[in-house]
Amino acid sequence: MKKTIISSGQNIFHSIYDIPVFSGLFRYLVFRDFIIRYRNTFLGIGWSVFRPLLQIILFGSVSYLINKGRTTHTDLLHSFFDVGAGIIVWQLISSITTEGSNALLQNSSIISKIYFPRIILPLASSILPLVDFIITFLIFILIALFTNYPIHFHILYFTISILILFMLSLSFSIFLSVMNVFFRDIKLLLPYVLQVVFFSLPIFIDIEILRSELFSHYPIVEKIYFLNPLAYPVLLFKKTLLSSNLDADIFKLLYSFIGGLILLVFSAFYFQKKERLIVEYF
Amino acid sequence: MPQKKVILRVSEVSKKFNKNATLVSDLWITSWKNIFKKKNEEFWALRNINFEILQGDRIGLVGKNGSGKSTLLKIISNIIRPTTGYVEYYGRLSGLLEVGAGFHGDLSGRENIFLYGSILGMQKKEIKTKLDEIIAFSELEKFIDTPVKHYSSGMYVRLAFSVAAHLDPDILLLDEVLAVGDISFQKKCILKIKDLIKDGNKTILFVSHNMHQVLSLCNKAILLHNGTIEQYDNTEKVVECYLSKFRENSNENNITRPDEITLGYIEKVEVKSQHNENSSHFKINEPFKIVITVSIEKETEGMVVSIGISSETEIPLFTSWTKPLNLQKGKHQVTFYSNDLLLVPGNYLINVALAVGDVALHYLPNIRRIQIEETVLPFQDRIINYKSGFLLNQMEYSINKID
Repeated sequence: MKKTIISSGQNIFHSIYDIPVFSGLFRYLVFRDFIIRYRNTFLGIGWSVFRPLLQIILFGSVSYLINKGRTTHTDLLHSFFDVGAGIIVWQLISSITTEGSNALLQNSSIISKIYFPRIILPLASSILPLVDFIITFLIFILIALFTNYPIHFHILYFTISILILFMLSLSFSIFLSVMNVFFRDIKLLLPYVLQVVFFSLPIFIDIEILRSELFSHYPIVEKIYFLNPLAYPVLLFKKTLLSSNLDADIFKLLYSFIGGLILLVFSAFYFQKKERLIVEYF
Repeated sequence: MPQKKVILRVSEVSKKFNKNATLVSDLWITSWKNIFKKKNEEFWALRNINFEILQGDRIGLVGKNGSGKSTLLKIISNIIRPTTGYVEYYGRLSGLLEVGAGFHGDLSGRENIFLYGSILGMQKKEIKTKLDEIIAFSELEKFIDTPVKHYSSGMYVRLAFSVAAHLDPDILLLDEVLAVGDISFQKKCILKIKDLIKDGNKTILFVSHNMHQVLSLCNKAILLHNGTIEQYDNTEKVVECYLSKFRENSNENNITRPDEITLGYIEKVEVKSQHNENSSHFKINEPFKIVITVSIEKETEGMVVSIGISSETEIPLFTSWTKPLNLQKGKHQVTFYSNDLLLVPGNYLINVALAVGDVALHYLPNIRRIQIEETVLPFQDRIINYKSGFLLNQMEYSINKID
């Protein structure tokens, strides 16, 4: 029979080895989130599409009004697609982060009664946003085909930028989920931080305007701007869809990739280190 | 008979908790406080626990509230980490620390079986093969596709226990899970557990305040007191020791006085044997008395002292009142005699109240607990069933041949 030892000075990655045993739990947590989200809603899964669509129309229109006459692209349709491409990827980042940050607190009743590798919770909470992303992305492509808007698709950079962004969001989600247990301030603070991050990214603000009006005068600002590891992958993601001239900056991409990797390892490490404390702080 | 092997070993386990444990308070309050004085907020829930369990043993874990039973189970089931020491075990261990933890109201019964099963570490395939058995055991065939938020609490518990009962672990931890559900389902659960342990391979660690369940299920027991092991022996000895401790302290319960004393209050409630010794432990036909000391602040007419006895599950059995009394200022002792009351073996709670007319002056629910022990019955000539009802008093009867 398998021998198990539970001791005070246990290797912090010990519970990671138990993840395969609980793969069924992972699936059912995802399934549960999915059922609960859409049960008793009129639109059902339509909400996955409807929410980002509303945001695209809102931010697209505002972006159009602001940018009118300042860039080469001036029609409303372009604004919709330009902002839209950013918003669908922003939805992925922000919902993984938000859902993940609540993953432990929402499941405190099972955590305090039953053992399983806790990291399953933030991991499972990231799946639904990923499904949402795929659905909205497909709708985005369909609308582009329908309106004859020129869409480009660079599969390699598309995959890489999504991978990096997923990695980064997952690291935020894992880190914040455990921080949220110790400091409930996170829950109150997070929406505002996300809002700031949203406006700092090249989603709503046209990067061309930043380039011509800010970066060209102060090159240092551009360096600082791309210190945010999210910034370049988001920009690249938009470019892979909207721009024929990709001109990917490998250095910036590598920076984001390594940054994402470090953050992911750090947050997983932090999570595992604090795992056993979680239950004592509920 | 081959030597049984140790299946679970707890070695030098201690657990320290920090009172007011939050990192926020660590950051702010304590750091500021510590500048002025070092305040010790530590609390040892368990101290140096050592024991071994052999395969096939059914261990009862008994002790008062706060003695560390649940903490010990949580450490064994890997939910909290011990401060020192280690636990080692062989095979699959499942802890049932709360029935239905992880159920979601919006999911149907069937969906919850899968969710709960996977939380307990079962594979999908395993659940699928046992699904029909689980549903049949829960007796919820008709409602299995209804969201569980529409279930009654009894149905909820039945479903959860049914899943857990089909877990098939090598070691099973049970924390007062059998204190739920109606009597017939509790019986069914006990039978199921007995069935599970029949082949002698399963090991059970069972926490309960119900000494009857412990006696009927367990072959050994551990008595925890203030975080240390007081005794680890045969069930009968440990239960005896636990109950005797309980008896000593039972009459020392503090009585909280009413916030506002107007006319009078209850000062003391004692349960005594016929020899006037404080006790909470009686044989079936042993008379006992409940002595209530009331302190009257102002002479009042129409004072009524009453006692009620209810089952351990707080089902009221009966109430007994004095006549309206005219009590003078000072202390009075009111004694109720059990006389020919014959309670079924088990635990009972005593409620005491002081009232004027309809107005309660002081009400003390569940202030004392008594235990009726199993003994030779006073009436040998009749068939007595302990499990049906609370009273053993027999009715007179007559038989006439009419045809």
